[in-house]
Formats: sequence, C-alpha cells, structure tokens
Amino acid sequence: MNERRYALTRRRFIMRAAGAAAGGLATGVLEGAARAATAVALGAQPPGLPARQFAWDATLARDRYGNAIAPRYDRLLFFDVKGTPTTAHARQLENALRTLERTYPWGPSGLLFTVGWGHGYFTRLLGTSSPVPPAMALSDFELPTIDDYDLCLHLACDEALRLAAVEAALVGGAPLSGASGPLHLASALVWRETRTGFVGSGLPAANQQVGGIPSDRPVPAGAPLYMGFKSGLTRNQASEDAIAIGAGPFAEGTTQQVSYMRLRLDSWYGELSDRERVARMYAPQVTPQQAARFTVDAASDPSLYGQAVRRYGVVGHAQTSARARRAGKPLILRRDFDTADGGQAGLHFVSLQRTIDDFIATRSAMNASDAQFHNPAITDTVNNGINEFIFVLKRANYIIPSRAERSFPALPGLAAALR
Amino acid sequence: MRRALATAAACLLLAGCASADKGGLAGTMVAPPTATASSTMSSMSPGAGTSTMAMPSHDSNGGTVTSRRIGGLMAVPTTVLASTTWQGMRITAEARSAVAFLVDNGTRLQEVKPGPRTSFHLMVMLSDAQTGSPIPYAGVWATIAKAGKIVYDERQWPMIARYMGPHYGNNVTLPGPGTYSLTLLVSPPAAARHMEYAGVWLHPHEASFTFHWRPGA
Repeated sequence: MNERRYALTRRRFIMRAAGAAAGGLATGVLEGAARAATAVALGAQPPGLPARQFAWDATLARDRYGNAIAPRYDRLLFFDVKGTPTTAHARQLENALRTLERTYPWGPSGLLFTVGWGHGYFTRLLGTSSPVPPAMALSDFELPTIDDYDLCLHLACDEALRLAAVEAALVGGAPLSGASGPLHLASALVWRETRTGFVGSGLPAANQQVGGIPSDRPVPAGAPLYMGFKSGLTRNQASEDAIAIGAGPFAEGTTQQVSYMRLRLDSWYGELSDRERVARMYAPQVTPQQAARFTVDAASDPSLYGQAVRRYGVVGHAQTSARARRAGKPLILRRDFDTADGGQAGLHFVSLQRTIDDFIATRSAMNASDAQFHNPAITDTVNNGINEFIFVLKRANYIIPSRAERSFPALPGLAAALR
Repeated sequence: MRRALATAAACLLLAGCASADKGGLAGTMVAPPTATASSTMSSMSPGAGTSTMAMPSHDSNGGTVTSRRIGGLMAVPTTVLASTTWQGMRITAEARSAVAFLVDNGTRLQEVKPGPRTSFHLMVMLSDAQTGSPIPYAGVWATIAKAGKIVYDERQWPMIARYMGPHYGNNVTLPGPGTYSLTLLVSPPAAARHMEYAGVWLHPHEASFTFHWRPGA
C-alpha cells in the first residue's frame, strides 16, 4: 500500500463526508458509495499487532506490585449493520480499524480497542448460529434491558479527548488529527448508542458530583472506582491466555459481556462504617487494615464463606465471587469502568471470558442466593456483598473474534474480500 | 428450610406501631389516593393510624402524600401512593410518618433513625389479592425520580410490624414538593410454597407509578 493511494482514498472519503454533511445525497448515491468501497484498496496494518484483539495487558503499565493499570478512559460504541451485510461493509469497517491502528500505537498511550459481535448479527443477518447466547437477567433482583446491537466497539486509552475524537470520526465523519485513511463508518454501520467512562486513581473523586453519590464528596481521593476500593488485582483476574478461545472459527477470540449498572452509594457511604464496607466488598473476616495492605490478591477466602454466613450474617462480594474459580483461578477478566453518563454514577461492567457460561457462573456465585437459606439475616440484597448497591440496567453478550476476523466475521466471501 | 417468620424479616418497626395501638385508629386510616383525604387526618399524631388490612381492592395510582409539623415532628397521614396486582399478588405502596426501625446487620440489631430532612416512611405491602395474607421472603427495590432524575434508589428492608405483618420499607428523603415517579422491582419470594402458588411470581416484576408530595410547613 503506497501513500498515493492512501491520499486518494482519503480524498474520496472527505468528499463523501462533505456531501453527506451537505444533506443533499440521494439514496442512490449512498448505495453507490457503499459499492465503491469494494474498489477501495484496504489500508495496511502496522506490523506486530497481536492476533488477539483483547491482548491489552502487555501494553499496560504496572503498579509496584505488578498489577496492570487499566487505561484511564473508555468508550463503548454500539452499532447496527446498515442493511444487509456485504463484503463492502466488511471492507469499510476493516479499513477504518486499520486507519486507527496506523494512527495510534497499540497501547494506553495510543489506542486499544476490541470489536465484538452480538447474537443477532449471526442469527438475524447471517442466518447462522451464534457463538454467543443472547444475554439474560441473572438474578431475581434485576430486570435489565437486553441490548440487541449488532456490534460493540470498546475503545480505551489514557486520553479522554482522543476517544471523543475517534468517535466523532467513526460516527460523524469528522476529521481526525494525524489520521490518514477512511474512518467514517456510516455506509456500513448505523450508530445506536455511546457509553463513556473512566477508571483510575483520582478520576472517581473528580467525578463524584453525580446522582447516586452523597453530596458530601465521600469518594476517597485516590480511589480508582466509585466504591472506594481497588479492583483488577492480578490474582483476581483471569489471564488473557486463560480466556482465549483455543480452536475453531473464533480461535484467538473470546466472549464479552457488557452490562450497564446504576450505582447507588448513599447508604454505602452514608450508613456503613469502613469495617462494614470491607466486609461487603471482600469478606467479613477481612479487616480494613488487611484490605489496605492487599497487593496482588484480595484474599477473601471462599472456603470461609460458610463461616461468613453463619457467624457473621454478612457475605463479601470478593468472597462469594471467588467460589466460581476453576483450579483457584478466576474465570473472567474484568475490563470494567465507572461512568457519569446521564449525570448518574454507574458502572460499565465489561468482562471477557472464554464462554458466556463462565460469566454466568461467576455472577451466580456473586448472587449468593443460597445464603438466605442458612441465615435469614442475609437475603439476595441484605447483608449480601455489593448486590444492594448495583442495579443492572442493560446487558448484552458479544463474541470478540481474532483481529483477522474482526470485521463482519462469518460473512460469506469475507476472506477474499479482505485479502 | 428452617426459616421462622419472626427471624425472616431483617427489620422490626419501632415506635410507630405502639402509638397506633393506643390511638385506637387501626383499620381506618388509609387514605385513598387522592389529595382530599389528607386534611381529615392532619390532627393525628405522628406514627398513628397504622393499618394494612384496609388496602384498596382496586388498582390505584397518583396518590398525594402530605405532611404537617406537629410539636416539632413531621406527621404524614398514612396514604396509599399506588397499588396494582401481579399474578394475584397485591402490590401496595404507602407513605406514613418517618419512623425509627431496627435492621439486622448480621450479628446484631442496629437502629436506623429518620433524619431531620426525612420525608416519610415508604412501605410496600405484598399480599395475596384474594385473602389479604401478606407475602414475605420476596424483595422490593424502590426507585423514585423527579423529572427523570433519580432522587431515591434503594432496596427496601424486609420488615415486620405489629399491625402490618411482613412488608418492605425504608425512610425516604425527597428534595421538595412535586410530582414523582415510583418504580418498584419486586423479586420472587424465596420460599417453599403451597401448591396454589406453584406457577406464579417466578421472575422479577416491575411496576411504575406516579405520586405527589406536598410537605406542609
């Protein structure tokens, strides 16, 4: 791929975007634009990008204990496929993603992203079976909207404005500083929703004047998340190797679960003591002093769950969730982040796991619905971890294919079209 | 499953019921969901007038909750905010004067007191629509919003009280007078069931209402 052809592609793209902005484009012209995409040469990819889209960890900075530090800002863009998917759609998307890869280095100082595909893309649009089931409610105290988006694009980096600029380019066709290549996705995808957020020391405290958090600024200054505790400790996370699909059409891929939860921390901060918060976040056997010294693991021994139920009448979130480990290892890799979307404290809970069943097993363990049958002081949402402080609003499942298969996976003729 | 009724509820209602008993008004003080009824009750003492058996038999919506300061305390006549029926379960939301109550924090009972700005005590009664028998072991999450902005968002405590039996409640603080939306998410009862309840209440259920809050001076 030479520079001259890039320039040509970009000129066409700008002309198209300008035409669309003028609002005078006839439908036939738009269709022509989509057809023209097949004739546009695919941009090159920088060498050395990992085969796994979700291979982010090697690029992340580490704290002094070796825990990966998540990118500070995230954005989730949800799209539907425009019309019936064709190889032209695939080339349009792939070209845009390659433009991003050429524009930013792969990492939090540049840009990290994954493309995931929903159940409906496979069943409704391709008429084939989906590698992921549709999402569903997973507790008796939630009634989430199940999203039916075809595509979820998860963007992350350490620079909030960069994510906004990338979204404006992909969704609105705005020029993106430093980019050379097509980005506007409008001829292939219809934008449906954007969710934004942040994770990292200082950010929740700086964004705590939102609904769901008491007005007296209770979020600790250095906390990476609204609830005031660290997350993402090495031994509390599945490794990328552990969640990678090993074989088949989605080898080197994984599954993604995306929930939007409302946080309600009035009583979390207003009525509970440090000790009570630690008991609910980790385990009642853990003291605040111990929690402050956690390094690579939140040691919330799941084998002490029975004791927690019977003796303490309180169970902890880390403790209940840890019951879902396999050979001592967590099943899911959390890439969650807080949000102030809509002026309301929330959590965009993004998790990656080899199968959606692994997520369901983890969430079911977290529910600890069995505790109430052993001690009536505990119900689904009383003295039960953090269950009463999160309210699931939306959920969806996606498959994240390998990088090579990320643009319209399983579409007939795809391999030839992207060659 | 050794789960006695008395221990099942995580809360015990304190002062309100005792005074209701003395007042001799039980069974008469549930206001219909209109603005007019409140004036007839404005002389009652805080906490008086508990009644649950007088739940309306028809679905209702749009209740108006009023309050009046009496002797330094804010009195709220017991008022039905709204009620509906779900698979034979009556769901009734009522407001009354804010009260102190005890919650079970796992190892002991801990008193929760209303604050100076607390508006009222929200009670959600779940009961069999035909027999009126209260339905315990379920869960209720209440969300109150004003003009789309959430102002209250809490899991209600499972509670017991002398004149109400098992219900679900908490004290609520609202930012000011106005019209509010109330959304209740009712969780299925986690209990063994007699056969007449074999096929109902197996999934969470959401019900949304509107009510008006007119605090007095």
